[in-house]
Amino acid sequence: MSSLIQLGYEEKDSWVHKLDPRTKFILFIWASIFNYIFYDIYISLAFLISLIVLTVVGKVAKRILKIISIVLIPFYVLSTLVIALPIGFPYNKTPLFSFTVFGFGVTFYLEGAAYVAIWTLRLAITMTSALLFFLTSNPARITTILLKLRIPYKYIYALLSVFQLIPIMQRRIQVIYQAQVSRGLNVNVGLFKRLKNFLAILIPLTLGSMSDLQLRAIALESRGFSAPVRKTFIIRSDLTKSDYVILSVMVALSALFIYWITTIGLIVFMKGIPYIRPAG
Amino acid sequence: MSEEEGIEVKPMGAYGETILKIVLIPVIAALNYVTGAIVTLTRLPAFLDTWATSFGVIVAGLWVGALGGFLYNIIMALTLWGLPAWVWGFINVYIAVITWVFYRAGWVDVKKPGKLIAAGLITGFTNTFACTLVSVVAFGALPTAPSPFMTAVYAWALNATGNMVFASWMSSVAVELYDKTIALYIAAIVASALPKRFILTKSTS
Repeated sequence: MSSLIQLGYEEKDSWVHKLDPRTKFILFIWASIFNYIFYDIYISLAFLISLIVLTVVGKVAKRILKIISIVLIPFYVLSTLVIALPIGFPYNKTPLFSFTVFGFGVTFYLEGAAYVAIWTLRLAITMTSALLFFLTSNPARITTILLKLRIPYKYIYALLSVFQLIPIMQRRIQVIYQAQVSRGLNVNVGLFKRLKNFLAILIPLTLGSMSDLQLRAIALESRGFSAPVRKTFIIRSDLTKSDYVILSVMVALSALFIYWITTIGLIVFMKGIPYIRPAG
Repeated sequence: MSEEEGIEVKPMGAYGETILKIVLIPVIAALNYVTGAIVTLTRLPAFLDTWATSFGVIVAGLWVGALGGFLYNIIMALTLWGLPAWVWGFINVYIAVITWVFYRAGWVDVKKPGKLIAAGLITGFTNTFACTLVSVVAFGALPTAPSPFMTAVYAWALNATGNMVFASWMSSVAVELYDKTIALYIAAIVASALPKRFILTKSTS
């Protein structure tokens, strides 16, 4: 699954790209938290549609929708088959529709279907908002902000360098794999041989990465990586009017959500479906 | 040129080791991440995305492995899994701690396959409880892995008990036992293939 994603920020001229990374990160946390509090398909759908609009404005909709669909469609289909069918989900009471398969009557239940839909939407929202932050935020601006927050540079380096390392390693895997295939590596073999194939790729990759380690450490030190001086910034990152607008909308909506939770409950618009906790 | 050919290799100072350990943390996170790609290429029915955490512990100590593993989950939460999945980072920290315990006890050694397999099975079994907790909190105790085998185990357990949490735990047991055992074994094999100059921890033997 991890090989599916094209990692990394792409410089694009969009309103979303110009937003401060802090605003997008707060949006990610805020959207995720409220969606995990409410148990309402309509609220989740409204969140998801708003986020998709932002991804379109940020010119990253195609990438994000591809990732979301690859991850969530199998999750949704498999979960619906298990939970909405009369397999054992204890809250199933209201038949949604029925059909016949090989002479057996099969019924889909509303409670199970709604439960899976809500959880899938929750995941879609948290993933979309995370990817929106990640794909539209310049790493240099993130570094500047984290340094301003007095986070030690070594930890910032560790976080951000992963995104450089992953594409390098993915390219190396392809090179090693091609070399191994030319030496007769066959993937259509038994389980034990497949494990040997796995090691045949993993060991050269790891040894190569460990060799690079010393080179990387020397290169970093030669640029004063651990020098006990105050780091300066090339790029500034300040909140703009757009950031204040987004933050104000979030504050206003939070007030509305808290009002709904205290007066109506966690199911605001969706009627006739009970609130279900995973642990019963 | 190598140590075997008679070249004198000066031991690295504590300062140099610290820099190497910091640089190793993202390497561990990236190795865990790209393991998914190798698993897909070699068609292995496993995740194995904790092997590099154990490898980091063996090569550079508990904190390097734990931070590398935790960072991997942060990256996954920011890219593929979404916010709630960052709590999975604690599973990687747990894997680092238990690997460190077994490593210090001398069980993580390819020359002692019985002990190594036992360590992997214990790691896998104890990890099922943490996995179930994350599955309930982040995924509503639904079948999370896109694996027909895990889903079939989940459906069977749900049908037998009507309890989603138990079904989620059973599907974890079906995978975690062999997945973590293989992951720990791989970490030990790769660490044993590494030249000694890369090992930043003191040997247990």
